[in-house]
Amino acid sequence: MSHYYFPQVILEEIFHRLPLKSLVNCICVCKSWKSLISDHSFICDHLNRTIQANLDNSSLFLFTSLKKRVQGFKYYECQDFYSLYSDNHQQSDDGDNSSVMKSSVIPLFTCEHKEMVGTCNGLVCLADYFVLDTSDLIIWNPCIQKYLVLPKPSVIFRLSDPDHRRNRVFFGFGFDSKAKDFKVVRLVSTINNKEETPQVEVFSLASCSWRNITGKAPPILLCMQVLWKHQMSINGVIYWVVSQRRNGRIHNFILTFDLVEEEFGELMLPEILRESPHQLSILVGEDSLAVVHTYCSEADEEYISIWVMKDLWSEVFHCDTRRYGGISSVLAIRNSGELVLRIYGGMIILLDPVNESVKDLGPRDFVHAFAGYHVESLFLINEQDGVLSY
Amino acid sequence: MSSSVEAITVLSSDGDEFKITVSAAKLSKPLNWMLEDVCFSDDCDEVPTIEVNSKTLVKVIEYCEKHAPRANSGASDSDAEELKKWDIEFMKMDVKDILFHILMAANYLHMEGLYDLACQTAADLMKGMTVSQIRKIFHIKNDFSSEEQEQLRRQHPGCSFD
Repeated sequence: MSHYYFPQVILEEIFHRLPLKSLVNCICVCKSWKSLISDHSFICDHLNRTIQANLDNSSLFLFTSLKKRVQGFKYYECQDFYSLYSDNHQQSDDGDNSSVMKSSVIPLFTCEHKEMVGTCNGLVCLADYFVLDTSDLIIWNPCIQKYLVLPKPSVIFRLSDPDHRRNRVFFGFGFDSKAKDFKVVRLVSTINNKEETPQVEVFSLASCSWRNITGKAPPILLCMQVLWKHQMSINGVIYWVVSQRRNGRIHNFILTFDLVEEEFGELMLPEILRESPHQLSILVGEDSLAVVHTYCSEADEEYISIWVMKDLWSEVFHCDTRRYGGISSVLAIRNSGELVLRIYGGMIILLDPVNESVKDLGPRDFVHAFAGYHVESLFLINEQDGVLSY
Repeated sequence: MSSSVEAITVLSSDGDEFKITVSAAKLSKPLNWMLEDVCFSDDCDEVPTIEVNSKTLVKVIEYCEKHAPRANSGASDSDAEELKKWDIEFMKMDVKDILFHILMAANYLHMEGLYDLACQTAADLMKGMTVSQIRKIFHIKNDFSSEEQEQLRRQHPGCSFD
């Protein structure tokens, strides 16, 4: 039997046109195919090709936790689901023409207090915020059903410390395009009404270890009304909203972290938000930085306003929260201007503010809901350093 | 090159002679370079050999002749649509027998359009296949030990082996 000898370039060209499921099949064909597909540079090329092919068709990643009462007992159990939403109907593998893919239950998380830190290049970062001194973190690739539990960071708090209840942890997750490496940034600060320099550690997926870079961050103040845990990474820069005290007044600004240079920076918010005493946070945007502001009018009516940064800040959405069935929170904004909204009563909708059309995105009756952007990628396929399959 | 030449003759790797029009030959960079070379001038009777077998070369030339008018002059949308349909019909061929040879030939002859088309056809074909089906069409021997095979099954639960 003759063996077809294909030059590697031809094989790669064919592989880049395969869906992820078929690529995983190809890994199991023979040793040379396995090493070609598992190669880090192939995985990065694959990501770039997938991004290029889906420029106008980004998928939304929805993560929801459902609470179910355990029969015969008084306690509840949490079950996690994720679903993908794409405008491209052909994306659905199982042939049912629905644009919302079936939710998949995730068997790997048992803790109830998890939150999605963010999504980046096909990976999802989840944090367990319940036990403050450990804050378990997971990096997960839902498409190939693999995840990594990160090693413990070195900055931990002792329960014996009388101040430990004031400690607050928040994270950033993104991709360093120079080192082609995923990084998690962990900031530890305290809620005590005064500015302080957070302790900072950076986790690199390539080295699977934490590095302490405390000292690089500016002093910050964590205010109650600012949802400083919310983050977004765009092109290798992570963004959070935090505050400082300037001239005796609270001043909100955007703290940035460049994942390549590992340097912090500062970005101005729209003027009207800089001293706002109302709820303010980063909004998950597709390619642009966005913030969401929830405030009360003088007539005590609640409004949501969304600002997007393109060269300059501009307000793209402004609405009474009682509309559309009652907006509980804004989960994401797409390049098209469409918004992913969580509605009171348990529903996630996609709203096009221009023609006011609404699409039901499926999940209901959840206790937690997060949204991010998704692209299929092969990261974590190699199972080094403790990556697990489920 | 003399402007009077409208078609050139090439030899396949099996030694058969084929005629290809100049405009069609321009779809391949190496053939284009040959055109600019002396070997097609009127006073040269040396026939260049293309390292592609006869069966494949017939198909490659068929593709070139079909695509040449559009490539050389640009085409309307309806032409593009018609050409797309023609491509789909053209690619309905036996994989082992000819598709892989076309792939190699398109790569060797630097024919972007045909290369793209053949790669996509191969990928579309592999999409629904199991691991053993892929091995079969590519004539690949399974070189994993049974332990490695077990490990692969564990690591890739979503993979369809048989």
